[in-house]
Amino acid sequence: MASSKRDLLPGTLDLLILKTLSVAPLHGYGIAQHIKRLSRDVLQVDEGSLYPALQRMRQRGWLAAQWQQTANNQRARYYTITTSGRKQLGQKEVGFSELIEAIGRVLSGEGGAA
Amino acid sequence: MTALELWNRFRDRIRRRQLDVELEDEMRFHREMLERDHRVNGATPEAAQRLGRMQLGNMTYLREETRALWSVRWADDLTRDVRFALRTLRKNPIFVIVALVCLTLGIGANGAIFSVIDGVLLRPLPYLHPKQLVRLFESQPQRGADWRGAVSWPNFRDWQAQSTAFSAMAAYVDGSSNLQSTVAPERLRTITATANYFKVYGVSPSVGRTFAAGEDEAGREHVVVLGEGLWRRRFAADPHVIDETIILDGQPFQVIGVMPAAFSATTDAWVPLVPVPLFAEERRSRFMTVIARRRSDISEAQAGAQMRDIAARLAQRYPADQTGRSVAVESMADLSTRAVRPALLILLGAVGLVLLIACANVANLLLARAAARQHEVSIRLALGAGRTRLIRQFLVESLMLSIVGTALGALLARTMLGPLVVLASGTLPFPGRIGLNGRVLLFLALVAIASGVAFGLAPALQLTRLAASTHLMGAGRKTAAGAQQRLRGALVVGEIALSVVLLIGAVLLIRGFTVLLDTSAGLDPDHVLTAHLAISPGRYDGTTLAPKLLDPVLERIRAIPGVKSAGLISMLPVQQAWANGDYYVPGDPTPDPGKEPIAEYRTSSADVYKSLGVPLLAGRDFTPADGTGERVVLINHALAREHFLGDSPIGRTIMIGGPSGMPFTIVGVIGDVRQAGLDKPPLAEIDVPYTDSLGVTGLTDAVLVLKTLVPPARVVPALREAVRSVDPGEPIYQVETMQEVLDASLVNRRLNLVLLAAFAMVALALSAAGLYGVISYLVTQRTQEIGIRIALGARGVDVVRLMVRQGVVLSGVGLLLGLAGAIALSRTLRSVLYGVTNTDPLTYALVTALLGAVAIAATWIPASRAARVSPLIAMKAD
Repeated sequence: MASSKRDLLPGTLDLLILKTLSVAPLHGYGIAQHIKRLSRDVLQVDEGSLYPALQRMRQRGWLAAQWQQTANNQRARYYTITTSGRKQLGQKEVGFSELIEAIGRVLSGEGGAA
Repeated sequence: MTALELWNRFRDRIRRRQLDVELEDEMRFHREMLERDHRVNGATPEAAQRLGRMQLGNMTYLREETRALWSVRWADDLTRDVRFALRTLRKNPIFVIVALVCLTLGIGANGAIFSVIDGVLLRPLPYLHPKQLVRLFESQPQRGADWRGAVSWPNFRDWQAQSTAFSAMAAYVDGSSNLQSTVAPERLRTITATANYFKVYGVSPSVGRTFAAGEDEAGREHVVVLGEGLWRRRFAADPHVIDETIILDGQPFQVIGVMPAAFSATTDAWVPLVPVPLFAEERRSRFMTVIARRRSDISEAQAGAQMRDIAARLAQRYPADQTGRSVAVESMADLSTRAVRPALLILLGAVGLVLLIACANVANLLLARAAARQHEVSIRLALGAGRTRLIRQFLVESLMLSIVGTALGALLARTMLGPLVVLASGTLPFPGRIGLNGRVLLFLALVAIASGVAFGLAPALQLTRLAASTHLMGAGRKTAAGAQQRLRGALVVGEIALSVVLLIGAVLLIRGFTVLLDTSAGLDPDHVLTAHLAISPGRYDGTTLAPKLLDPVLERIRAIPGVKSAGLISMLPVQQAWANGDYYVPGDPTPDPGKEPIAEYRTSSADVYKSLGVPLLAGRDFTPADGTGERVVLINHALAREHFLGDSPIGRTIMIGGPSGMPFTIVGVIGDVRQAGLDKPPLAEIDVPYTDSLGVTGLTDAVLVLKTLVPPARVVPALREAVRSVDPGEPIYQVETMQEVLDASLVNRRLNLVLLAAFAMVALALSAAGLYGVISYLVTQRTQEIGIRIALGARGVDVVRLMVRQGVVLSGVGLLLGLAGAIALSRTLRSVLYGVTNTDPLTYALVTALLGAVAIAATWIPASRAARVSPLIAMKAD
């Protein structure tokens, strides 16, 4: 089990959070669950990183937060992506795919002089 | 960090309690959800709780991580430093008060003087593109490079027609006119100008319009532009004043516009200049001021060169009038501030020195306090406090002092500015622009920060360095004290040196001023009353003025009870303005062109010199019969000495206007008066009686002079009544005693003097306090040693001598440095000094004595305290 948990590449946590919130507003727990589920349990978001990251992104103006009732009538803090957050998401997605592509090229050995 | 992020962080920092609670809630929710998950997966409630807590990890760590985001570290540190500083400062109220007094005095003086400099020197003139504005003068290079004169109408027209360097050139004459009114007639300060005058300045009227082209031609309807002051005073700022008619000098003028006060605060009205035929053709009647706007593509040098070419052509064409004459082009901005610039810069230097002394004093205080805090600092350093952190804390302390000092200083400057502007209103251009504005406040803020760092850094650095190394080991005490002592000694030496420089400057000015006060104007101002009598050119002419107005006025004022004698003259002594012209004494060699002798011309009456207390040295005074028969003049002693050395000038002929002028007979010689000011030597003078047709021409303003037997103020109502009974339309104005006239001529110097002396006194007090502080500190420090000395049999006198010697050494070094500095710096004072040289030995001796006395007093008090030390207590002191 432990070996299947993957450390996130630096900077990817912000990307994942923004992507998750781009669909619908969610609370911290929901964000962690969403990432876990979609990555089929490969990516586990550490709560110790999640909440500081949420606060930082809120201060940067990428997220807004407000308290709402959940479906089970519990109070939870819901995070919403802002316009400037969406802009960030776009940039990060492009940057990330470029990074993956570059890593892929290195791993497949193509294009090099070999 | 973006600005938004920083802003949000500050906001979070403020509501961090609430954020804390919210985070707690968020965590709880998260944990509950995790527990629910585990329960759903079949765990017992207890196990689920345990698993949930485990999964959420170290809550404290998480909280700390998040909280770090809610603070701005340096801001938090700063807040802590400020709190700490407030606490320590509160514990030392005397230190704080003394430091704040020093800073308030230093910064307040700087604020006030900088406000004046900002308003007068730094702000551009309130005209369009003021750098392009110039004044044009007639110059006579052979009389000296600085010789400047007024311009004649034909020359002005030729300059205007032939020059290409200017986009507009206008001429004007300063004067005054009577505003007729059923309520109260008033004498207005007017400018008579060519129609394009306002175009040159490029300033628009606030109401209506200014002169249209051609409105200055003869035969046009009279128009007038009002100044804002007059408009508010007499017309209640009514915009419908346009098209109204006012009566100036007995003639109707239609009001066409109002100029804002920012354009000119001193002029009441502007009217078009229509030269009378005599002046329009006479190239030797030089009476106008010429201004022009330089084209933007022409440099000042090019404009000057072009004008000199034109002048050379004119001199060739009109050799009789123009030989030896050229043109000088000068920037208006330079001219408007030239008279006050040196004095203001000297004052700025003086307040700068005061501030330096104040800073040195505060640094001294801080050093003394640092000595007391050495133990505290050592412990904090030993416990691991960072040195930079401690230095920063000391700086916060000194900056807080300087910021509060600056705020108090700004208040002081504000209160000082009121009287200062009143005092200076006659001498400074644009006094209305002087005030504490944003730029002055910015200057003060910079001064505050610079002074805070300057006087806080040295003690902070020294203290932390010394304390860190040695203090706790006890051995360091001597070294630490030694280095401190040297630094404090150096500060005191510096303070004394700066005070000496200031004192010498002040004493030089005072000495010069007393020389001026002792300078006789050549007259006796005691019980002499003067009053200007306005003469409207429209209402009297050359043939009616004397018989219809002046004769009866003189007759009636001479009949006022309490009046001993009375007369009239066209211009009083000690005036800034003067009126001169050529003359020639037959028999003298024909003068070279451009070097004709010139004399001051006055129109006067019998008894005016007797009333002023000016002696008649030879011959006789004017009589009522003069002006009808033989044409006669009085000359003064200066002219007599120059041309009639040894011979009696009485009965000799003098040509007025030069070799081809009009012959007059000299009937009397009067004593010299200082016509152009107490600081200017008497000039050659020729007086023509007002009963003569020449004397009466151009007499637009006469000054009545009354020698009274009673206090002068008592005859004023009778004087007004006497003039009104002759002609109610010609008011008298500017009624002053002769003493007031003399005082007014010195107001500029007096202002400099009062300010510089005040600053020097403040400096002396500050440095005396500094010296006192240092010696007191030395006494405390050496208490133990003194105790031993006394125990071993030293007498009180010996102890006092020991301590005083240290004070004397410090002040002696400071005094020597200060004297050397003063000799070097006082050169800059030359332009404002009169009657003394900048190395006047008496001044230097006086200051040395004064400073020595103050230094000994400041040392004596703490030193005599040392002598009373009880050996027992002293030896236990440590």
